[in-house]
Amino acid sequence: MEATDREPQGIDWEAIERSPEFQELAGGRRRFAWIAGTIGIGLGALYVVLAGVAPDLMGTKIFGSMSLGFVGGVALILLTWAITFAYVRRSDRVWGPLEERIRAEFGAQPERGDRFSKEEERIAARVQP
Amino acid sequence: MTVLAIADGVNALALVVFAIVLAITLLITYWASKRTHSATEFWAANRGISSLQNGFAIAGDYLSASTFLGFAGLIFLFGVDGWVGLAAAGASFLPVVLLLAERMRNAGKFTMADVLAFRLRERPARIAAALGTLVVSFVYLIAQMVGAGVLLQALAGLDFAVAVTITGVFMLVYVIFGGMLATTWVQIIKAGLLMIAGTVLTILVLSKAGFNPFELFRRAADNYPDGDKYLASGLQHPNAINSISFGLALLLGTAGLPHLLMRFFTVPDAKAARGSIAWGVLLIGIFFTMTMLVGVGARAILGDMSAADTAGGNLVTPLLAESLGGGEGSVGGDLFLAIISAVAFATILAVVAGLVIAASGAVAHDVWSGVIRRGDGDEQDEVRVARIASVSLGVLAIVASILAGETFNVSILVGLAFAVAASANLPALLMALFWPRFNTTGAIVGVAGGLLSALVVIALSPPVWPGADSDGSPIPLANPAIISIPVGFISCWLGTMLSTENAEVRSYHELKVRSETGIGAV
Repeated sequence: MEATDREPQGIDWEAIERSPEFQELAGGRRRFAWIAGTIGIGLGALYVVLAGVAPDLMGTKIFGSMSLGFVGGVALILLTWAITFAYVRRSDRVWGPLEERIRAEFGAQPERGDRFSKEEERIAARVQP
Repeated sequence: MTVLAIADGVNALALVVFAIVLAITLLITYWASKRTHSATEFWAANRGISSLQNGFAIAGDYLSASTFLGFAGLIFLFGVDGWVGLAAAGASFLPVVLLLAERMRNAGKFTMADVLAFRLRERPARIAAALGTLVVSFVYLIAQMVGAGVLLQALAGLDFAVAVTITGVFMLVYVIFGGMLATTWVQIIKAGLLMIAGTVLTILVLSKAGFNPFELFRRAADNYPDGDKYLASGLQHPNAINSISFGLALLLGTAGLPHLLMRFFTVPDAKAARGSIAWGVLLIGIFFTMTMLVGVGARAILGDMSAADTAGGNLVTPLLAESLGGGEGSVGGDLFLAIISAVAFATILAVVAGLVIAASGAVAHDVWSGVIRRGDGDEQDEVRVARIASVSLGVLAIVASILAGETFNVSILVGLAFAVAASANLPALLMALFWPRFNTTGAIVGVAGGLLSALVVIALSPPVWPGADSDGSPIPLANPAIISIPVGFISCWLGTMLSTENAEVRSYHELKVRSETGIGAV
C-alpha cells in the first residue's frame, strides 16, 4: 500500500524519459549538480584537508588579524549561498516550467503536490487489490 | 567533562524563563493535537507547512545545542579548528539542495526508506533504511539529552537525572500529542529565538570592538597564550587524519540525517521543498557566522580560560552573555544568562523532538506497516504504533542518558551520528536515486558495511578502547568517517555487482521520471 496506493495508472515512464522536455530537464539538472556540486564539495574538502595538513598556511593573515582559516570558512558559506541561490533561480525560471509541461502532457492525475483529503486517502486505499 | 555550576543552587530566574518557554510549547502542542489524527498529519503535518516556515524548522532541526554552545566553545578554545567543522557543516547542505530536497519530496511519503524501497524489494530495503535511521537518531538523541542534562545542571542548578527526565518528558509530549505539526512549530519558535539571541550576542560582541570584526580577531589572538597560533589550525586536532575525518563526517553527514530529510515531506510540493532548503541554508549560514564571531569574541572579551573552566567550552556562550549583560551578580548579567540558558534549552527540546519523530517513523511506518504488516495495515494502527514506539524509544533514551552520566563524552556521539549518516544512509540513498544498476543486495550490503565499519572503528578508537580516552588503541581515530564513508560507497557497489538478483519491483525509469517531475507525488 505504501507508495502504491495512489499509483498513476497506465503511464509509459520510458516514453516520458525519452521525450525532449524530460531530456532537457534531467540533463540540465544533472549538469548543474555535477558542476556546482563538484566545485562546492571539492572546495569544502580542500578546506578541510588543508586545515588538517597545513596549519601554518591556515594561519596566514588575510584581513588584518583574520587568518585564511577563518576567511576560508566564511568564503565556503558564501559559496554555498551562491550555489543554492543560483539553483533555486534556475529551477523557478527553467526547470519548474519544464516540469509543469511534462506533467500536463503525460501526468494522468492532478499535479502540483495535491494534498489528498482523508476521505480520498481512504477511498484510494480501499480500491487497491 | 568537568561540571561547573555558574549558579550556586537553583537559579530561580533561569527557571522562570524556562517555564515561560515550556508553557508556550505546551500551548502549541495543545493546538496541534486537535489537528493530528491521520498518518499524513502525524508524520507530515498534513503537508501544509510553507517554505519559509519549513526553512525555519530545518534550521531549528539542524542547529543543536552543540552548535550554539559546543562549537562556540570549540572556537573559543581552539580558534580555526572549531570553525572548520562549522563551515564544513554549512557546505554540507549542497548535496541536499542539488540532489535530495525535491527528489525526496517527489518520490517519498513519510520517511527516507520510502525512497529506498521505491524500486527495491520493499521489506529488506525498509529494514536496512530503518536500521540506519534508528542508529543515527538514537546516537544523536543520547548526545543531545546528556548535553541537556549537563546544561540544565550548570545553568539552572537542577540535578542531572531530573534535567534529563524533564527534557525527555517534554519531547515525548510534543511528539505523542502534537506529532509533526507541534514538532515543526517548536522548531520554528526555537529557530526564531536562536536567531534573535545570536544577533543580540553578535552585536554586543562587535560593539566591544568598535564594530570592527577584524579588531576582534586581533584581540582574540592577543588573549591566547600562544598568540597567533590561535589564528592557525591544528590546536584541537594535532593529528591531521583525525581533523580531516571529523571534517568529512560533517561535510557529508548532513545529507544522510533522517530527521532532516523527513522535513521535506511536510511541504505541499517540490517547489516548496527547494524554497525551504534555500531558506534553511541562508539561516544556518548566518547563524554559523554569528557563532564564529561569538566564539572569537568570547576569547577577545573573556580572555584566557581553560577547557576545565568552561565545561569543555560548553559554557563559554552563557558566560559571555553574563559578562556582556553587566557581569556576575548584576541584574542585566543574571537576566541575559537566564535568557541564553532558556534558548539553549529550547534548542535541545526542538532537536530531540525531531529525532524521536524520525525514529518512530522507522519503527511504525517502515518496520510495522511496511515489513510486519506488509503494507496491509490500517493507517490509525500505524499512528498508534508510532506513539508506542516514541514512548519506548524516549524512555530508553532517558535511561541510557542517565546511565551514561554527565561525564560522558558527547562530542564522540555527535561525530559518530554524522559518520553513520554519511556512511550508511547517504550512499544507499544516492545510489537508489542515480544508479540504474543498483539493487536490493547493494542496499543491504551498503547500509551494513557503512554502519558496521563506523561502529567497529569507533569501538577500536582512543575514546573507547582499551579504556575511556586512552592511549594504545588499535585505530588512532576519534571519528570513523575517513574509513567508513569509502566502505559505505564501496559496499553498495560491491553488493550490487556480486548479486545476480534482477527483480526490480518498479523500474528505475519510473523512479527517475517521478522524482524529477513530481508525477504521482503524494
